[in-house]
Formats: sequence, structure tokens, C-alpha cells
Amino acid sequence: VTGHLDLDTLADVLAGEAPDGALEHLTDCAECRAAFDQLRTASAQTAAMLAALPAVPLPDDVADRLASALRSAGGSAGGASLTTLPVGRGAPASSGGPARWLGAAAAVAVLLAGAGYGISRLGGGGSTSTSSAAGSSSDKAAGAAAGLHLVRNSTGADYTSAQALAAAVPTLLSGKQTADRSAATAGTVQGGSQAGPNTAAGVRPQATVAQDPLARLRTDAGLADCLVALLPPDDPSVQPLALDYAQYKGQSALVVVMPSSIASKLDVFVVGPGCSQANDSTLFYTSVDKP
Amino acid sequence: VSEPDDDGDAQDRALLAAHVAGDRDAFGQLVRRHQDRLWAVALRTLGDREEAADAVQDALLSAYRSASTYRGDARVTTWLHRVVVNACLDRVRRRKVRPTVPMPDDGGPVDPHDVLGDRETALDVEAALATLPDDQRVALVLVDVQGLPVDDVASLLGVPAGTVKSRCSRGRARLAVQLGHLRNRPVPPAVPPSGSATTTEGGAEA
Repeated sequence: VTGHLDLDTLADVLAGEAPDGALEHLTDCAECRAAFDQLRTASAQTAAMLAALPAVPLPDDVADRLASALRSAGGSAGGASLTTLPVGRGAPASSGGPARWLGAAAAVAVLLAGAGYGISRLGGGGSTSTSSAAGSSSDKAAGAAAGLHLVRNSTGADYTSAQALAAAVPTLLSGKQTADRSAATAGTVQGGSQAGPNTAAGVRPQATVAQDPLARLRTDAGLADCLVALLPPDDPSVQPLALDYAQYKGQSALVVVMPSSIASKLDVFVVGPGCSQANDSTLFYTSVDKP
Repeated sequence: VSEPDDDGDAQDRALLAAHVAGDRDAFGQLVRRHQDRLWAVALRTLGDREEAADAVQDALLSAYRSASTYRGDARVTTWLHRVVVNACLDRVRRRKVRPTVPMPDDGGPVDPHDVLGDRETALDVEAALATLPDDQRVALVLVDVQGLPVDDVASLLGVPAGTVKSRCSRGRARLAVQLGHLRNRPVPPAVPPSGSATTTEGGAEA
């Protein structure tokens, strides 16, 4: 060892992880010994300050986000059938489990009734036969009567954060996508891509769609089976507002924008291609400010 | 920061087992027992509120789904911390940029009689913490701030206990310099501990 020990080396000695030659140097070098003694005192002081940092409780809004995410995971067939909102402060309890979701399914019919819109949800008068949601023609008729607007986007965008989703929501709600990158991304979706960014509902992917991971969710039945898992069972008035066939961290995903229980907010779910009542595939959830 | 004792871990294990067995409330109870500490780890590791929220959510969804894979060889709190820390480190690796602005705007009121004396001091420490190399910051957050045992942190991070000790000690030393508790001695670029002693020419002012 030549010269004096640097700070990292002194710290390693203090940690009992002295590298070769360091202890010998300390024995011989009064200056480094003094520095070491000073470091020992300062480190103890620093450790005490770190230990005294104030607690940082989980903020209510983050707790609510988490509660919603776990609530959606509660529809999963994997693990336990989580049904009460498990996290958060003031999160409303709900009951159910798989039964909860079947109940939701019974109250929901999803259909794609025409260009640009068509996801509708039957209220209490909904049939009890819609656990497969996209079901019967009568369901479709009833859904069409409700006629709520649902904007379907197919941007192919790769979302990686809550901020990115929040930034995209206004555009997704407007349907004013400037480009449909799904074809470029997946390289397979013909129907949806050709239909343009605000893909008309009812436009089905064509033969090559079999290679599109989201192909099932582009169909009425598949989409219905997925959405029924996301809609809150205790509020039949909730209607999805916008979809985006996109990606999440490089994986094919469907973004679903829905009203929130908080008036000024929107819920954004990101689900994987396997999304269904029986298969939790929620990849991400966030709550964003309503534009 | 106190850790759940053995009784606490026994309760955690019981809740996790109940969750796996289908108890609809168990996972929520388990999360409520640890959520504040997990949040603090994420927030202080990432230094960004939204990223921390994303990381905690990703992590707990993952834990929810993979609960059946918990083998019981670590405390449940360690397992939960591991999941959260991994989620945070994934994000750190992705962004490749350390946080430069410390957070807690949501830390709530601070007791004016606490050890630090005032909130300003705490923010100084948070700011200094945020500038540390990632590995040192994570180790200090887990060991000094959260009070996890070094062996648990070593297991959690998948490194030897000596590495955790070294990271903590180096991190404390850098913090001490930044906080003015230690006069400057050249701080070398962060390098993994080990090997022979690193020296600097005539660096000591003490």
C-alpha cells in the first residue's frame, strides 16, 4: 500500500471487510488512523440519522391504486380468491371471490354493436346467461340499446409507466391516434390495422390474426370475457370508456380506461392477452386524473 | 424501525398460508401489516413517488400471484421486501439514472422532537441518500432505515453479508461527507468491495 487509504477502503475496514494491506497500513500511518477514527464517529452518527428518518406511510391514493389492482387480481384463478379490497385506507369491502365475478358476469353483457362504439352493459335486468358475456343476440340487442360510446384504439404503443399511461389517456379517449403501429409491432394484425387508429368496432382481424397475441381480445366474445373481470361488481353503471391494443413493457397488452369511483379520476387497467374472467392477467393498474 | 418478531412472522406465515388456501381476506391483512415499510423502501430506493407506486403495485401483484411458491426459508417480511426491492431495482436498471431529487412530500407531519430535530434535517439526509450509488442506497435503506438484519438483506439481495456490510459502510461514509460530518477525503468512484486496499495520494485532511 502506497499513499493513504481512500474513503471506501477506510469504510471497508470499518465494516470488517478490510482489503489486503489496509490494516497494516493503518497500523503504520497516523494520518489514516486519525481519518479512520473520524470516519468511525461520523458513520455512527450517520447511521443514527438514517434510523431516525421519519416513517413514510403509504399515501391514500397509492393505497387506493393498490387496492384496485389487487381487487382485479382477485378475479384470478391463481392463488387465493381475493375478494375484499385487501389494501388501503377506506377501501370499500366487497364480497365475492369467484362468485363475485360470476355475479358481475351475470350483470354484464358486452357487445360490439357498430362502428366506433358498442360496449354496453346490462344493468340489473341483465340476463343470467352472460357469464360468457358476448353471448346471445338478445344480449346484443339490449347492449346496443344502451349504446354507450367506447373508443377503440390500436396504437401498438409500448407503455412502461403510469406517467406514460396518464399522458396517453386523453388521446385514447378522443380516439385521435395519428398512427396505428400495431401492424408494425406485431406484424400480423391485418384487419385492425387497416381499419385505422380508431378501429371501428366490429372489424375483426383477418386470417393472419392467429399470430396476433391480442387477437382473442379483438373479438366480441374475448373482449367481453375480459372486461367482465374488470368492471366493479358493485356498480353496474360503470362503463369502459376506451381501449388501446398496445404493449406493456414490450409485451402485447390491452389498455382499458374506465371511470373511477373518484369523480375526478379514471381507472386504467393494463391486461395481458389471456385476460378473462377465469384468468387474471392484470399487468398494471393506475388511477389518472380525468382530462 | 422495528421488525416483526418471531410471533409476527408466525402470523405472517399463517396469513400467507391462509391466502394460498383461499382465504379471501388473508393477503390484504398481510399487506396491511407491511405496506408502509414496503412503501418506504420503494420510495427511498427510487426517489420518485410515481415510480415507487408502480413498483409497489407490480411487486405486490406478483407476490399475490406467486404466494404458493413461498418456500418458508425466509421470513415473510423478507420475502415481501425482496419482491419489492427487485421491482425497484428493475426500474433503476431501466432508467439507468439515479434519482437526484428526493421525495417525501407525503411523509406527513414530523414530530418536532424527533431525533433529527426538524424536517429540514430529514430532507437533507433524504437528499444525500438519493445521490448514493444504487447498491449503497439500497443497502442503507434496508439496513439502517428499515432496520433489517444484515443477513436478511444479504439473502434478499443475493450477495454475501460482507458485501452488504461494505456497501452500508461506504454509503455511510459518503453520506457523512455530504452531510458535513466528515471532512473531505477523496471519494473514489463506486467500485465493488474486495481486492487490495485502494489508496489515494495525500488525500487525508483529517
